Amino acid sequence: MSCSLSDPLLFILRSGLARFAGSAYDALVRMHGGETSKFWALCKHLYPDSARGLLDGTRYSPSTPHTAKTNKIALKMVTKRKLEHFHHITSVSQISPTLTAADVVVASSRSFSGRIFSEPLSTKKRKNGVVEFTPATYIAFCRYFLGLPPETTIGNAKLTRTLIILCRAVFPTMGCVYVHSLT
Amino acid sequence: MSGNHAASKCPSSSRCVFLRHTMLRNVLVAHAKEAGLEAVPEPDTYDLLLGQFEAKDCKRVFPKRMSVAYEAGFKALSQASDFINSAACTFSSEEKQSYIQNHLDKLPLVEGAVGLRVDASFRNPETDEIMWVDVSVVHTSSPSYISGELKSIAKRKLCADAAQLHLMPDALQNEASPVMLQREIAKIHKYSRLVTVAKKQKADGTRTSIPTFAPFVVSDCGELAPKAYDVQEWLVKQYRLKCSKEGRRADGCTTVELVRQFRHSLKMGVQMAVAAGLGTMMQFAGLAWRGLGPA
Repeated sequence: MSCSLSDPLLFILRSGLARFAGSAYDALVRMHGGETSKFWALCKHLYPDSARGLLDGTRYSPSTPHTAKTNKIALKMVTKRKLEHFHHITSVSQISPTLTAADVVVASSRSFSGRIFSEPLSTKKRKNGVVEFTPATYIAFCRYFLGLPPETTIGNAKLTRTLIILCRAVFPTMGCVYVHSLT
Repeated sequence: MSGNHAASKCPSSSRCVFLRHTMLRNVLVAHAKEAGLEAVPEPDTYDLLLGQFEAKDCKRVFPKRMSVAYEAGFKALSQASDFINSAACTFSSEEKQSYIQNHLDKLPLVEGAVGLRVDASFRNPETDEIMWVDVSVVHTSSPSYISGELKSIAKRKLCADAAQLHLMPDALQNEASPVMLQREIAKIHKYSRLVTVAKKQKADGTRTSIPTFAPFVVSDCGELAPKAYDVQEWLVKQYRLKCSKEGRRADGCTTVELVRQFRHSLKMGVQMAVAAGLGTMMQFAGLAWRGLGPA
């Protein structure tokens, strides 16, 4: 908003944006967790008091260039809010049939595995320390990382009644074909 | 779903557990070589201790698993070694040898016992700095570890909340998983026998420097234990020394850039090895066990 209204021509034509201002302002407040949220309280001084303030020229106009890095601050706030929400939904007190203790441990670990997704993967064979990461291995790891059920590899996968009731999600479970018969 | 079955003793995935371990060790060895170190994967304990103990005796003197009887025997052997090196000892050379041999023979020999062996030995040929490293990967969400982990998570959360409330630094922010710390302590205790012997060799003058032992413990989630960070930074330091010594390069890359690249490559290598190993374990867990080809 600040960038577009710093242009004199766009500023003159700003009335065309009026119909979007209300929903944009609502989305902005929602993004920070609502008006009662502590995150909104921390950064509301960066924004106008109401949707009308977005276009009335008091805050954003060619004569009042907006230099504050609002986007950066807003995105940081969103990150903080999402992280806090993630920590809340994966806290020990939330352990239930749909969130196992193992899920909590995995979610709370200071993992660096996420870096893998930002790097090109080597498909070379294992040699001199080069890691063997085949497509199937990669898929298996991603499923673990995302907390998804493993791929059906054994062939005896079946829907288990207990698991369906407990997890409220339908996915096939496999039984280990070795002696210990674990799932 | 959380990989507990794959990380348990399922025979189909047990080979992949070794594969994960080997890949992780290879990453460290490859980077140590890049840092200009002499890196030996799985060195013989005989060579590691400069041939002080016969190869056949190493298994008896340094078994992988320790019994109470063995611990008592090793303590007696250590005391005997201290005694013959002290000024109070008036034994002749042959008597000293037979005295030590006598204590060696008293150590209990367990049939089928495996000898202790570090995963990798790194040596800087210029400074003669030596580091022995043993690699280990922990599956922190295993049922046997879960209660300890949950307690630690709850404690960390409480501490973080209190720190936020009182605007104070979070003291437990960087605390590692308790299981990983326990594994580190266990490894250090296990290999302390080798370090003790090396220290004695240094005192006797048969060794020029005392090796450092460091366990490299990583979790399946990609978390590094404190000593693993030490190993990582030690390797980076060695690489920095190598770059500084080489001086200006023809390609124009500065030492800072190269070190940054090396550290990133090491970190990524470790994460990739753990992830690839875990992925392979998940892939093969539960399959009918009939061999998966050569390692």
